[in-house]
Amino acid sequence: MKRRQGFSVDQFLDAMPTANAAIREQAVGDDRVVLVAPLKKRWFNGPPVTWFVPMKRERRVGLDALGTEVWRLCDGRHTTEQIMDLFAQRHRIHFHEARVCVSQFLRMLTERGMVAMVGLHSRESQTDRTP
Amino acid sequence: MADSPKHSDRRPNDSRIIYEPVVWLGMRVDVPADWAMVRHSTKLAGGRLVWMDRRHQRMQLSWRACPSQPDADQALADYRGMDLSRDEQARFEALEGYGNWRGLRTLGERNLTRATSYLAATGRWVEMVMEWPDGWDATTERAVLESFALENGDAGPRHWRAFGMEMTVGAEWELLRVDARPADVSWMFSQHRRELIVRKMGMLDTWYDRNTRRFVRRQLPESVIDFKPAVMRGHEALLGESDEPMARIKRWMGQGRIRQDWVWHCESSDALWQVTVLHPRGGVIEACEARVDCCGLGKRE
Repeated sequence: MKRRQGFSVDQFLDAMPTANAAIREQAVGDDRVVLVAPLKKRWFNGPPVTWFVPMKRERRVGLDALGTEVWRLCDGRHTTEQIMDLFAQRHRIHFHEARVCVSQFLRMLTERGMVAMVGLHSRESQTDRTP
Repeated sequence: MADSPKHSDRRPNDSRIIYEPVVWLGMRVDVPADWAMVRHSTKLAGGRLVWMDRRHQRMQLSWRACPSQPDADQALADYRGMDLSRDEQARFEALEGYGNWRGLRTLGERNLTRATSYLAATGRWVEMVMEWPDGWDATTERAVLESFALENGDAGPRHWRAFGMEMTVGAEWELLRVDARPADVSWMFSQHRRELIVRKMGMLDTWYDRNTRRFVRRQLPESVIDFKPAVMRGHEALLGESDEPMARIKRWMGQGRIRQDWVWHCESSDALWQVTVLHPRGGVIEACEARVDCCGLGKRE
């Protein structure tokens, strides 16, 4: 079972989601994108294995209009709280409702390595750094 | 409080904070609008409601059935001991001037207001705990405690207000559960073999094509639905009548129920509202069982 990292609510809301620079965006219409992430090279996804077995060299994740809206705010300049505020205002929902939507989506992106939460340190790592 | 008159439209004096009334199981309390209810219980015998702001838990209102008045002094002594065990430097102030509320303020590492009251009219012991992570706020403390009141008599319709919804339903309906998902909140009531569901759906620009008939059809793809025009709270609504989807054998055994759906779009709350009533055959329902106040709750934080 995965261990849960001990982030405080303050740390999470103040962190700045930042898109992975290696990700390419492909526009699909006006309001949707497909994110293309290159896969890490390993011994099995290069020659000679790929001479016989076709292997994917990149992973693609299609975002819907709402996902694209949040993705475009992951620019390293907006905090998570600001993204939630903007999302709530735009869709006329409560901040707490926006928090559920945005944090689930950001979790999905961070698990796939597409977004890094800049400024977010787990309590464990903070303890480690203490002299 | 227990002996206070029913809540009138009085509002807290502080104009800087917007307060939102919450009416739950006959108890009414005004809380700052940026506090959201994150836990709720539906049982009259005992339970709690918990609110948090963006970053911290702010308030817990708990209740339990109590045939006689408990010893409030003992409860306060217990609170004091509990807080001292966490923080030896904690200071205490008695809570005074709040009617039937008795309690204390704990000031120290954690700033808390604890208040208790026995509601003789309903035989309930109520405890309220407020947390002040940014320092004790006398105005909010007063506003919240003074706003507490009992609503609904023993008979007559029951008033409910929370999660951006307000409704009045008959006293015979018991609240089963509330599912509060982002932009999709459902309240489920039951009464023997009858069910009542009141649902509010937001973020319409992302999914709703302004076709209520298609919306109902999508929920009941296999059913034959008889559509009729209706009016709900001054809005043009659609009434769909159908048989509840279920296995044919159950229907042959006489367990089939009739399903009625009232669906309407309320512009001021920018939400799609749906009231669903399921009732056994023979029990004819002429009108919607819930009086839903959709228009008054359009404002957001």
